[in-house]
Amino acid sequence: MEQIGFGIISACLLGAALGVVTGKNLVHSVLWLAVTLVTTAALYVFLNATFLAGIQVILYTGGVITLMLFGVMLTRRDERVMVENEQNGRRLWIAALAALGLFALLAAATFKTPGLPRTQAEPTTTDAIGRAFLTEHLLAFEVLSLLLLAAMVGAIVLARRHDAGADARGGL
Amino acid sequence: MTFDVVYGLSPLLVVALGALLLMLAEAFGKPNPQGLAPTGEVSDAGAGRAGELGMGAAVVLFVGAALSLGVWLAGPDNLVGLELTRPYLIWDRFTVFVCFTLCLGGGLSCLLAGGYLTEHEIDRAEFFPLVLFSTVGAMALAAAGELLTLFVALETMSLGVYALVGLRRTPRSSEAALKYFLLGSFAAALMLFGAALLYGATGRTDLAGIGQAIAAIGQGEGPGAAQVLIALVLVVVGLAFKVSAVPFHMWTPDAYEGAPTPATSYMAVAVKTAAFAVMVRVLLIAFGDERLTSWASGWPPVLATLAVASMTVANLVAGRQSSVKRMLAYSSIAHAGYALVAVVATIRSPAAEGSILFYLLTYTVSTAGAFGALILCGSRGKEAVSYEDLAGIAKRHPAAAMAFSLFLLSLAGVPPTAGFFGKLYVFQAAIDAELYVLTVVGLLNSLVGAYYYLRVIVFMYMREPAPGATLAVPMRSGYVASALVIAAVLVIALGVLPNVTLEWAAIATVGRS
Repeated sequence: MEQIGFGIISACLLGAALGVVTGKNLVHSVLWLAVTLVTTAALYVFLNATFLAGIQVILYTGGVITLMLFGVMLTRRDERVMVENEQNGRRLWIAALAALGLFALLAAATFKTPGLPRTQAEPTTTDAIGRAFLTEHLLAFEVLSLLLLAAMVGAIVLARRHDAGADARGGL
Repeated sequence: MTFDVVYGLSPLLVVALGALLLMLAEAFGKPNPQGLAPTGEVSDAGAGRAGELGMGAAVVLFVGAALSLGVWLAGPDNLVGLELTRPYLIWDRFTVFVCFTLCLGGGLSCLLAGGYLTEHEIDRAEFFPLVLFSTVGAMALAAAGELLTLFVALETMSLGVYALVGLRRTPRSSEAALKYFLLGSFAAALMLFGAALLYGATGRTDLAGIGQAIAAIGQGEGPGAAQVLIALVLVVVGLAFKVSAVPFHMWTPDAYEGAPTPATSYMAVAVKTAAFAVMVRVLLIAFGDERLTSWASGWPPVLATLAVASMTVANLVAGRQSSVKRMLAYSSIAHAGYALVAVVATIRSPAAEGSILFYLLTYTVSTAGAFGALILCGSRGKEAVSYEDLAGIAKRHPAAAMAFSLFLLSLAGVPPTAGFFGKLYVFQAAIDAELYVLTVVGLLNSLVGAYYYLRVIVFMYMREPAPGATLAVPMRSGYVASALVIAAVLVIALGVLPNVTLEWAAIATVGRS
């Protein structure tokens, strides 16, 4: 039963991923990406990582994909932006070779390691993750808050409308 | 105990607090009408918000450096309770020494920015909170003893810098920022992949635990050995990107050239220093197993190849640049190569860790100084970027030319400057570790390097500007001048009296298992 479910989900995942890279239209690619991310969340459920699955759906499908769609749709009127996903023959081969190489490397590693330490069967609860954040990983958590702050300041710096600066005249 | 902990972590805390305060000051402070005036002459008196905030940021960072010095003297091991932060942050003398270097480099860059942003009318005082956030990340990165903290710190350091590169909205600057961001994220993802594999193979996230588990996996074919090797490759690639070693250096010239010069200076000194610190710690503690540090089956040959490639390629390409800023970018890649020689030497020479720390300190003061001098040679509307811009500058601004020459000589490694002793101790450690080929390659490269550093000096002192060319008028700024004075004093002090600092660096080791 589990095997069949895993097979179906993996097939969906692979199909959707192919859709992302072969789609001729950028909007379609983004929508396929959404499918990819949701099926990945399903895989997480299989691995008993329900919290991760929830985060995956909320953050990636809900947030990132929506932002990407906005980005694509807001800029497609601009003729400088190419919405078509053009395929370049030579680059395709290089990309395929690189992907196959990485696959071979990881597959070799997976097959060469028979006895991986098994994680516990019971799902990691949100409760436990929250506790770990505020006890064990408190320092990383604190640094993380600075990271988000830096990201916000950085985003504002990059997005702010340009003011009467001298950049246009300033060389470089 | 509480006091000891707070005192021990004070460099980190002061800079973090300073970042928050400066952010608020920047947001709620009065906009400076003079800085915004499109035609108004910006006088020294009205140096404006950028100048004031730059001074504030520099003071915060120099206080951080002073506190690092204080903690070093008190000895982090003597501070009760500080070991509680282990294994997340390993607050030992190694960390504290690196923190000192980071704060110094960041402070000098902030002083430079105080003058630069005002002169070029870039009304972007966000520069300073971003530098401080990034420095907090860099210090945490240097201290990180656990994979999760390490990754979060790495990203905190990088995010600020990505934004700094794109601070000016010129096409070139935006392109540089985008390139750096994309490649940087890619490298971070590779490293995260490596970290995940390490956790999978060992079940641990702290570096010391990983080191023990890898030693237990031991000889060759046990379960997890292949995973560990792949993880090692991925982590080394991620770190090599951050220190910009060849062949992971492609972004460096573009990003360094497109960024505003004070940001370039910050990237060249602080990002590289923190990345080297974490590289030493990860390689010696997590991958410090006998098999992985051996010449036949571990990381030393890989890093040695990176070192040789970085030194040789960067030095050969640097000589052919027409932009001085780009030349300095390649020179920073070459310097990463010299430091990598010392990283390889850590396998057999106990003095190598100290030589890396000392080298990074000398590199920081010389590089920040060189970029500062470059800033001083140009002014609004005409930045000095090419060799031609610098032609005859010695006649127009002898002090700037003198300072620039001093820093370039230090980068070239001419005695009695700081750079000479930095290189000397690195090569001494390499000879100690019986790495004769690497030493010879490094020495030959120093000679090649001297060519393009001296070429700048030749242009400044012996060439006349082409008739009719727009002359780069040297700017006048107390901030830039004071940064140069600090850097120059340190370059000479470390060059004339290197002993004390070197002894301090030598005691600061990562305490491998």
